[in-house]
Amino acid sequence: MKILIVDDSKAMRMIVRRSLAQAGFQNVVAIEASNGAEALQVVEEQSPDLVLSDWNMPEMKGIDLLKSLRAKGRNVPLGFITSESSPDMHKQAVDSGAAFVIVKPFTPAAIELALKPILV
Amino acid sequence: VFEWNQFVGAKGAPWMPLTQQIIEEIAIDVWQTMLGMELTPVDCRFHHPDRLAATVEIRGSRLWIVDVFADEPLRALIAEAMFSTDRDMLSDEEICDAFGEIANMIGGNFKGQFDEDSQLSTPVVRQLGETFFCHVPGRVRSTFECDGYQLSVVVTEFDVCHQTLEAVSAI
Repeated sequence: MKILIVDDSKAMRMIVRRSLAQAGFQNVVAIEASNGAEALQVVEEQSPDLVLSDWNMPEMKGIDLLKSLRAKGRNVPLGFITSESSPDMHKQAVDSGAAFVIVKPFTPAAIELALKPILV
Repeated sequence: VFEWNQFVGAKGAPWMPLTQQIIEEIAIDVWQTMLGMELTPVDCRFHHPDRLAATVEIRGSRLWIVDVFADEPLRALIAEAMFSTDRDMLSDEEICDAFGEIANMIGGNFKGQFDEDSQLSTPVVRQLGETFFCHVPGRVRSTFECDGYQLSVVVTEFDVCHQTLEAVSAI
């Protein structure tokens, strides 16, 4: 199981990695990208099973990453892990095909709850 | 050392106590959930000699700037908790990154309190000039203690949304 973690913060990528392990996803290979544009390339090259993306990033935002993936016919599940929590943003994410939205700060339990239906 | 009256402001007085309460709840939640550390609100003098802040701006019908201040030992503690490693293993860049992410989480959750369309910037870590510490109407400060170190969150509200971070930083 390969999961792409997309966040411009190295610290947050580390926390997401750790939370995946704490949530019980032990057999996960975590790969990383620091923005949406880089993530697009990684998806092409490494075909992850799931993308966990921040919303607000330089170069390309998470929502634009999602739209670009769908425009390319890439249907890899994508969930957002973001500090933004407005209803508008949530609606935009879901309408664009996001699998879930996890709001920072988050617990490993929130990761488990969101990912289990997708990864099991 | 600057003495800051938190609730002085010619306009916007009704939102200021509410903002302080919201900020306190958000900051404590971020600390406990993401860092596994305790954060205690304190009523004390604002004292951050190196004037280094992690900053995000929220731009909507108004402009809010959220500045988070923590001194070097606390910034290192934040990074140690986020990277789950010792200070000796961390670069200055990683410590700045972790500090910026704290501002991002506090700012993002603060933005979520308002039912209006607005944009959150990516965080920057910047050293503020001494003029920042003058009284500005529409500014709220919350101060906390963590492991013996001071953390402050300062939210400044501006009426106009066309100002840049650089422009208002000079205020």
